[in-house]
Amino acid sequence: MVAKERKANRLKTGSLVGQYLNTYLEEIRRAPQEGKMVAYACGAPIWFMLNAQDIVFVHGEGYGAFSAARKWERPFMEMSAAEGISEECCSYSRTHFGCALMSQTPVPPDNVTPEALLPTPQLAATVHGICSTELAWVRAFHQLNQVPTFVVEVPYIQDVKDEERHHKTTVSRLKDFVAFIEEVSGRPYNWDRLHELMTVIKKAATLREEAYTLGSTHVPAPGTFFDWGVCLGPINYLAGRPETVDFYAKLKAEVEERVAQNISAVPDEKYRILWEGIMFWPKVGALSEKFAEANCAVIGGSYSHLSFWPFPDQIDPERPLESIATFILGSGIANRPPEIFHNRLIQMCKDYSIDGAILSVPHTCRPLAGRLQMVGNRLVRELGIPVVEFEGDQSDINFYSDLRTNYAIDALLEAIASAKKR
Amino acid sequence: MEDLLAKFTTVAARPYDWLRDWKETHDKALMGVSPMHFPEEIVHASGVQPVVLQESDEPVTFGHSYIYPFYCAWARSNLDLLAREKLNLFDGLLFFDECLQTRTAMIIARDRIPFPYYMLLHPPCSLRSPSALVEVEETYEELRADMQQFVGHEITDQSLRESILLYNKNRSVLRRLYDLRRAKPGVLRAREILAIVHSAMVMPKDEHTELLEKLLPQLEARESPPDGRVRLVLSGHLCLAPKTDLLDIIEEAGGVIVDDDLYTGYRYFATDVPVNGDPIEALAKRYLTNFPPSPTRWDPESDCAEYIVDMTNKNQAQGVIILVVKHCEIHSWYYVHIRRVLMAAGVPHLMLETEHETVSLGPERTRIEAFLEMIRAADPDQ
Repeated sequence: MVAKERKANRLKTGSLVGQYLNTYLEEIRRAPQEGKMVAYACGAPIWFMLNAQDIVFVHGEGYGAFSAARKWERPFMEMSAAEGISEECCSYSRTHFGCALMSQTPVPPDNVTPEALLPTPQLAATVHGICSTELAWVRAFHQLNQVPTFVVEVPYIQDVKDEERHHKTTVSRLKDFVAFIEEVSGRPYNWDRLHELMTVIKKAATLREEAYTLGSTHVPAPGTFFDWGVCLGPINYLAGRPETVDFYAKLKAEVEERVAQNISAVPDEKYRILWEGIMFWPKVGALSEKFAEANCAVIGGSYSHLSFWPFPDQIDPERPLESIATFILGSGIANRPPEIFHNRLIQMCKDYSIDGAILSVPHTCRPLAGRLQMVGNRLVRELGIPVVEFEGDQSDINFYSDLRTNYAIDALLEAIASAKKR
Repeated sequence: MEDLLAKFTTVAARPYDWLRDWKETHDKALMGVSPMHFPEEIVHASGVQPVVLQESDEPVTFGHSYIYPFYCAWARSNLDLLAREKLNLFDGLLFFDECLQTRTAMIIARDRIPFPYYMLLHPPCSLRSPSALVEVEETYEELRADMQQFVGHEITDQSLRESILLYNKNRSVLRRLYDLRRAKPGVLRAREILAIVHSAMVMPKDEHTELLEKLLPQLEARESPPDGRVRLVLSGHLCLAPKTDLLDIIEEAGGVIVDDDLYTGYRYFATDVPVNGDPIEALAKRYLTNFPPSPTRWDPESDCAEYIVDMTNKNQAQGVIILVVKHCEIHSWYYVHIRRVLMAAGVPHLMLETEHETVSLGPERTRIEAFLEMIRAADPDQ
């Protein structure tokens, strides 16, 4: 039987991400033998602050995402369910926690991939901004492993006139976090190393932003959300490493080459779609193909474009805590009144020549689902573009249905085609 | 006594109907406040009457145009009531940033449902951080300033102290009620106890205190109910009152609730605000160090599970029923630890997940009956 040829023309650089993840996982696995501490950390990706102190981190959400992409997640979720955690809870957290439990059993079951298992943590931390589940998740590790745990609280900015005050508060809390790192590691904080990491993050984030912007504004699109989402890996897991600069330089070069030669990610691109919300990680490949077959370029949205160091000009490597505070306040999609966020999305739709929008509704990610109906209303009201909801989940396939997705795509494309005729 | 109990039950069953009638004869603004840690005293000191917003027993309809069905019952029910203009008796809504779901409900409401006044109170949830006291005081002063602007006059420290005294008085009579229940389990039915606490969240405190002070001597004079039932602690159900049908099932199965840490229960009135010193500082300190431990706060020095074990031992309870509201991730996660601690302490427990849209309580009845049978079988005295 001849395999069906794939229509989606994915960016080649994206296929390198797997190697970066393998490096990241390998470092985590080696940490105990190398005498390095392991941290379990959730929330906004500021955990290179631990790397500066030579502490290795497992980013909970990131772990949940790539476990789903690699199809590791099911046994871990079952383990969490056996412990009494409702399946309505965040699927990232159930994956991470279930994996931690399995990793701490003497003989994990046969259906668990050995490379998925994790070493026991010596500390835990979370950024508590938009998601209280992250607090609950990290506390579960604190209770399970009796480890020192720190919560970096991020204020909710109700009025922009309070921005400066809240920024100062956040910097102060980051200083408390540094003091915590010093206490658990037993040595003074390595500020020089943090400056180095920030310098590299700025370079990588700049290249990434340039690649994503070029890739999203050009018609036809040289890359899609399924490329941009996957390519978030390096800046999340290996932030501050020189190889991330190489990666995003390669990505930008490939995007530029495709633009120069008018090569598109979706041959016969007819529709350009905003994907607002989180990725459905178990379905990255399948959705990429499905949309390509429908001649649809899914350009991206806030998750791919506004979440991971989206404003590199705001990074000052000489003022790392101030820069990190700006990042976690600015990237907090629900950390400020929604109008600011909506305005950014509207501008993205205009810049990226968007015809219609998908609201990806993750059943177990309530902070990201909650704003979607507001976003949809705003897009329809202000831009007059068709909007549909995709029900699914970031990593629990039980909440996803191909049939429902197909209907939603058909409905969206019909609506776009009809709108274009008017 | 029946008349007094009927008054509490009426308020608890139809709180907003009762408040509408009350408002017609009282020249006071009403503010809805969200559970569980809102400093009501600051609102009260302004001359406005705070009322804890509750889950209604009506199905969610329009609300699902604003929030998805996989949010907690409190968020969905209140957005539904807002959307259907059933909260128009309030002059404003004040939300406490208890968890992502309360915050989400406020954000959605403010963006999409016009209402005279919205506010989100956002004190730190890390109760032991070095700057926590200062930050909580700052947040409470902001609330004071906002309420002063709303009412158009100053909220003095003296008026705050008077409100604190009023609230402390109500809390103390509620604690008398609970002491009585501990001494005479079953002196009132569980649904009646719930109605008394629930109505305290709705009625002006002086009115509620007066009614309860009339009831208590009559209850104290009541004979102790017969022994022989399984003594239980009821735990959890953050932010919401449990359905009274569930409480009835527990009692019909032969259980008696001797104590609880429910929000619409002991948690609401467990501790007082100190009356000396600066009132804002006193309220802040109560929030930080003197509330029963809560899964919604980060406090590495307190443990909800140990609190439950302690309560169970003090009351010589034979088991614990833990109620988890469906979609309440914070509590669901904490249950992992509670379960392990209770098992290690040898405390039998049953966890029940409750839903706003309860179709049938048949399965819960079976589970509760089996749980109580198991306890009886293990107890040689039963």
